[in-house]
Amino acid sequence: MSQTLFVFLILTASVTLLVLLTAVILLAVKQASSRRVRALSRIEEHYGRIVSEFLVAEVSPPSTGRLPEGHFEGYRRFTATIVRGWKRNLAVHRKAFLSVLTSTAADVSGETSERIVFLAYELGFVDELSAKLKHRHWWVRAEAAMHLGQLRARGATAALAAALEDKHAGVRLQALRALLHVVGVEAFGSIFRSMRDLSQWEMMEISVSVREHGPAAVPYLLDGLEARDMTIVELCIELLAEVGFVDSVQRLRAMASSYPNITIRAKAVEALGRLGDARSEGLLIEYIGHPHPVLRLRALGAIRAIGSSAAVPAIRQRVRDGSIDEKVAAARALANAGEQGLASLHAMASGPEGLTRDVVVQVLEEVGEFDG
Amino acid sequence: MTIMDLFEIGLHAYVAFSILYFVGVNMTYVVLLYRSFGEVLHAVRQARFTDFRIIVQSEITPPVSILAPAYNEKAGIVESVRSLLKLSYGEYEVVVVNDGSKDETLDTLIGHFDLVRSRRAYQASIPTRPVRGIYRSKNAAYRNLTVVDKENGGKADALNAGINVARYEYVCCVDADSILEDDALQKVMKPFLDDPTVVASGGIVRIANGCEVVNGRVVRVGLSSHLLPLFQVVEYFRAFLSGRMGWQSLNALLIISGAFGMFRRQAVIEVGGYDSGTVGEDMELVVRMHRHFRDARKPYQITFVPDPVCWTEAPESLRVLGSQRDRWHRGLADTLWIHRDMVFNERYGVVGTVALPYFLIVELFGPVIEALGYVSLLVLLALDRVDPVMTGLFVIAAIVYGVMFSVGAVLLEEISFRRYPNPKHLAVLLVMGVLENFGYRQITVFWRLRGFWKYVRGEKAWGKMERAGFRQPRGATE
Repeated sequence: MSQTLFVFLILTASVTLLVLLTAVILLAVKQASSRRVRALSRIEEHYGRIVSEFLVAEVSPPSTGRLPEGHFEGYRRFTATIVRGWKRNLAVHRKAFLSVLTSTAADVSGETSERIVFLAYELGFVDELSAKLKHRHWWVRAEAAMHLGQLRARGATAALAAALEDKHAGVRLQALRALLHVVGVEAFGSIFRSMRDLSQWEMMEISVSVREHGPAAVPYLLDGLEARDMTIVELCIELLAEVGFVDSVQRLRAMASSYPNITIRAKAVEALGRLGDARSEGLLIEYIGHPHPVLRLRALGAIRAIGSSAAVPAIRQRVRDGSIDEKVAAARALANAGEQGLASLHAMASGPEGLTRDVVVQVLEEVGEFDG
Repeated sequence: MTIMDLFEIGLHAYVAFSILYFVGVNMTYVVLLYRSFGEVLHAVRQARFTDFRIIVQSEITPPVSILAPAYNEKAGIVESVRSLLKLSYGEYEVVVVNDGSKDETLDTLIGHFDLVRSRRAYQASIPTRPVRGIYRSKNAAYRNLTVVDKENGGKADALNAGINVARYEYVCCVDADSILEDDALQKVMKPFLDDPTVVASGGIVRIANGCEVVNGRVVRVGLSSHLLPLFQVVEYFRAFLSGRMGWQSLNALLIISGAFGMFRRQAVIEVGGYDSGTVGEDMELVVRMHRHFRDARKPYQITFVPDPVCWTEAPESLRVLGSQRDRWHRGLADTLWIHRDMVFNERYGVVGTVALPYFLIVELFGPVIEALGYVSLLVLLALDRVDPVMTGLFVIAAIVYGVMFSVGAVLLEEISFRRYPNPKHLAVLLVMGVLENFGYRQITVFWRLRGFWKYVRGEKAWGKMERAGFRQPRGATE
């Protein structure tokens, strides 16, 4: 009995101890972390006030031009005041100050923004962050790139460009965003020169940035067509179509006809359709009967976008003989090829039962032309 | 030597085996938990530097087809579909597959979403039970909704029909009665966008009992006031955060939950789709993918993302929970039987030499070994052939290990995603991590044993899942 009791007591005690210990550790960690957050936010608040005062203060502005050193004296007096308060807990204070600088930088522009840049340089943040771009932990490198971008540190351009080739995708993406922030549209030059084997995510990031810059990005996209990396070429073709740069039609036609990589050719065909230029019509009609199925499918999609009545016989052939994907794409192209195309579809809809008729009926229904 | 002596030697041998087994299993758990910690930290860091708005903003975001099989879901189908139609993603479609429901699921959908029969061509890339009709909405607001009506063939068959109808390259399979968080689709899609070799990706499933749900969205995370769902919260933490994260770090993840998983459509078609002959279709598909890609020597990744959340309602009665667990166990047994030649087969790398043997020895036979262990100990104690103190210490060690893994999983949640911000919730979950070792764990062993027995006898029924419905806050309107 006493043994059983002993076992029971040990069991209860050890489990309780374990749980209590974990709970205590968890609560302590929670407490400590919330204390740290509170302390940091107090320091940030303090520096926030100081930086705001500095941004509106009447001191001679820094300039990107070469001015005498004395020009910055007013600013330096300010930074000296800040640094004097950093004797204790230097790391915490610098972290808080950097946080204030980066969050303020997002909301200001022009001369005010240049004051922020000045502070970042003067207090050594740019050098410190540039050095961190070589840190052994990827997340430290990524954070450094992110902050350099937020601070618009032009002095870190070369380091950021080098980070475009970092082995970790997270760092490359932060460097990409930072460069676009720092040097604007010119960053695309470095991006298309340095980056390799883009992932779909990286392509999406770049596509959003290109859309923000619009036609200004076109020269870089045209340069990108010459890149050795296929993913860059593919992306540039896609983006030229997205931007709607019709003058690229000749180059895209040449790529569609003779580029050594079939994926790139297919992309060029698709882009020609999206650009909707009549000069592509002949080539696209020719490609509807191309031996390569991917090129045929893309050509059908492209010809649909252009809406070509001259292509009707070739498209009709694909509706009859193609795979299901080709049948659907071809039927949609017919639906967009004017009256002649629609008449062909109606004729096929009353043809013999089978996949071809099902596809035609589906497409007629999609365009609201099916009358039962 | 008498029969009694032999019996006693046998019992002692079994106890010795049980101790070795116990040590081996717990070492595996420790390794998995350790790897999971690393993976979760990595995921948290990744999330910090990821701007998911890109998915919505970019013109080149790959579109996704969401597939939701529905069987007798009349009561909740409208809310579920409306919730799926409101997800934050670029271009996507929702394909609801009515799997021959006997109630008015289809009529409810037709009436509510203004559906008309579509003439859309249907090509059975994966063979399924006959499709009776495909419906689309006349209302432009629901233009990305397609409803497929087909003869009953089970969840796997319904998903296959959905895959056939899906228009896009990526298919996300969800349970019609689950709730996806607004950004869940973005997050579960991310691995595919980072790495072209990813063929499947699963997200975490969390228990919604006790959470407040408004208009198909979880607006306040909470805990149920019932004991069973609370145990399941801790169990899900262990299974998803500790187990699946650990396995995915070895590219040996064998399960992507049927409630929430994203697949490359072509890869699923390539392996022949879901197997409608098994009740463990989600695990079977993933194992078949491993087999296919390893046989073909094609590079591939099957990943698990701990952040995208799918909320599901957990059973609140012992009967329903028992039926669910014995079905899961039958599914596991069936999958291991179908792919038995992969187990201990080095041709399949870590999957064949580590993951499948683990699932065979620990997950499938675990309940049998554990139950026999309890019986042997009791017999030896009754015969006064073991030291009660040593036995007690062993039991303590087993419980302490159990508590440690549960608490470890709660810790993983706390250091990473903190979905339960209230310290009271944390305390409750820690207590559940202890209490589950006294009764709940033993009853799950019984259910799994029952599942094993049913599998041996060839039972393949799904069992009935009853739901109480999600909790609405007071005054909430639909």
